[in-house]
Amino acid sequence: MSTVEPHPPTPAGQVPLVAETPVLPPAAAEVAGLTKRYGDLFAVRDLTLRVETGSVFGLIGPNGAGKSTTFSVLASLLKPTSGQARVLGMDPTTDPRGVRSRVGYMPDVLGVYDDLRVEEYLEFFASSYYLPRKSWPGLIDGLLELVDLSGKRHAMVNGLSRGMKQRLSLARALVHDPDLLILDEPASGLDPRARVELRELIGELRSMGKTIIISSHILAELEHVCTDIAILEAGQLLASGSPETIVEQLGSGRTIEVRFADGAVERFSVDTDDEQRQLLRRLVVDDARDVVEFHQVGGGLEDLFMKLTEGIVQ
Amino acid sequence: MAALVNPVLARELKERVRGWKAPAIITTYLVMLGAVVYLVYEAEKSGATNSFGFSAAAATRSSLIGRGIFEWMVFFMILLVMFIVPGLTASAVAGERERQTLVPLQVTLLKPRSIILGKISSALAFIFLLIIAAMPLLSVAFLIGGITIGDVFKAVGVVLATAVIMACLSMACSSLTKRVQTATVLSYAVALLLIGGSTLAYGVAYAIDESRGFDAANPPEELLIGNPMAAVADLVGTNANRFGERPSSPFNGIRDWLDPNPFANSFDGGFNPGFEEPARAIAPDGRIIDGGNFNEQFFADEFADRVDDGDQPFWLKSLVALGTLSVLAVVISARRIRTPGTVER
Ligand SMILES: Nc1ncnc2c1ncn2[C@@H]1O[C@H](COP(=O)(O)OP(=O)(O)O)[C@@H](O)[C@H]1O
Ligand SMILES: [Mg+2]
Repeated sequence: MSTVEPHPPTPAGQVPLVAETPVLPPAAAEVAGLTKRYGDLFAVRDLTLRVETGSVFGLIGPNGAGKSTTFSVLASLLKPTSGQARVLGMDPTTDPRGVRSRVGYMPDVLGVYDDLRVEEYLEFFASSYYLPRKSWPGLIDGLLELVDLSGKRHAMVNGLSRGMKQRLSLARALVHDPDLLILDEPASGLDPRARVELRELIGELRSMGKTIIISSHILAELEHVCTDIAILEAGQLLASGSPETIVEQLGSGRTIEVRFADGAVERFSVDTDDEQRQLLRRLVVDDARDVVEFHQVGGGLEDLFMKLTEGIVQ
Repeated sequence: MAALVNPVLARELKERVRGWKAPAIITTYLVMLGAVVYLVYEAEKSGATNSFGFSAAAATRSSLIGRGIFEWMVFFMILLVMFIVPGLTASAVAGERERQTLVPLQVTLLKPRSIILGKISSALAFIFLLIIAAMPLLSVAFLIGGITIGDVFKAVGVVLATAVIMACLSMACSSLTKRVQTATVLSYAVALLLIGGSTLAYGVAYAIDESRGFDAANPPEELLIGNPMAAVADLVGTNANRFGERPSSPFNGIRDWLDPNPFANSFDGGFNPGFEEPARAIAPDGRIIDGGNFNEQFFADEFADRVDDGDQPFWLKSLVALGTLSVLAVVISARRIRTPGTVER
């Protein structure tokens, strides 16, 4: 105990060369008992989360669940009513500038300046983070390449498509090379193709060593992107862990809908492929019923999500 | 190095030169000022009179015309600045809120105060351009006579000070509202209140005093202390010269409120209607100058300042009051965009 030095914050993504003592690495972000009230409304209620360094953490919940509120607290924009938040070891309420210098935040709304070119837009933010002017050209080259906007360098910002604006917005959040990225519903309003590109981009950012916190109200959007997921509903945490852990935790995963020749429709609940096979055999072989249709309603996490949020909204 | 120019200022200037608004405002502004110069010139060249209703002496007429043009121009420059600045500044914070660009700005390392001051400077830079653009027109007045270089500097200072004050107040309006439209209306309401409201209040107080008896003192000048136009009237407006001559000027009315005897400097002290126009005048240094040799510079200097009552000049008191209000406005504006807050804003 006494031999353990205070743990220096590991620069995100740098794999230590020498295996370290098994001390839990500092979390990239943590909230404990976080509550934000607006009058009688609890936007977030007693939320406790831990985002590991290097992870892609998905916060999922329907509209109004409190995702943006949580992000605003982490991004040093909003004071919680009670509870604590720590971001890269700093308290966003008391050390907002410390947090801002190492966190990239992309809000859920896309605001752009009307009369600026893409390059000038990024230059403006580079200067707003007080980055040395000499570094701008190289920095902007790199960012535009990363978000695939190199060809739009001299285009006016307000002429870009929504997907491009979204990527520019992401480039903006990356301008000061933050260790932690907070992306609030970055996929909303994007066409399927742009979503795929966004997913690839997130993978790339992760391989660059950044910790990413991302939100969505559509589970399927994040299912394959995240290493950890938390499900939020009406300001409260319903489940958290790796996508697989959550499924394990909750046992039954799928609903099977079966339509019979006589028109009857029945639903069955199964957990595994094995159980699903057994169900089919029981219906067709043992019970000798005329099965016309046998299919899964929803599936995987989507199904879980339906279950998790059932009857809680309104 | 990177922080030599306020980033917000740099960006806003870039945006401003691209927009259609800036050239439109400059053009309108110059056309209006040009019209003022022309109209005042036409009106003054035939009508300049002294306090006795006589036509002004030939030698002093051009300085009266020059002075008249100058004071009317300053009046309109102030008026236009008070009209234009809210239009430039009211959108500052509310506009960023409306376009949803404020949050990305708030999470940068820019301090709220830098954001606010950057935006105020960008409005002022534009006003400075307007003042420079008006220089050729001001020089018309200067060439005609009746004003000095000092007067021109005073005018520039006064217009800039008004712009600073209006920019700060509009900025507060902008930071307190969510929509540009609300902010703009609020800013104009403030401008109107400062000028119209205080003038009206003083006028009513004046009328009440008058009704009490002719020897009642004027209402306290403090009633006008928040009125930039009153401060300008005090600083730029003139009392009569020693011939009881005074240019027709929009400032005369307010100035007479501030200074009950604007003719104190003329030979007759303003009280002797039987006084005849002198053939010779006495210069401040005691020289006697014949009517035929009147020199314009002499007359230019001759429009008197108000009688010193030993108190701080009114314009200075007004500047301090409005300056304090402006600083307060900047502090409020910065506080309004400071994060983290209890409500996101
Ligand atoms: N400034 C505010 N004033 C009042 N209620 C708010 C405010 N901001 C958010 N809320 C409420 O808090 C709840 C959570 O909102 P939010 O965090 O934006 O949800 P999400 O991002 O998950 O859609 C919602 O019910 C929303 O209406
Ligand atoms: Mg949201």
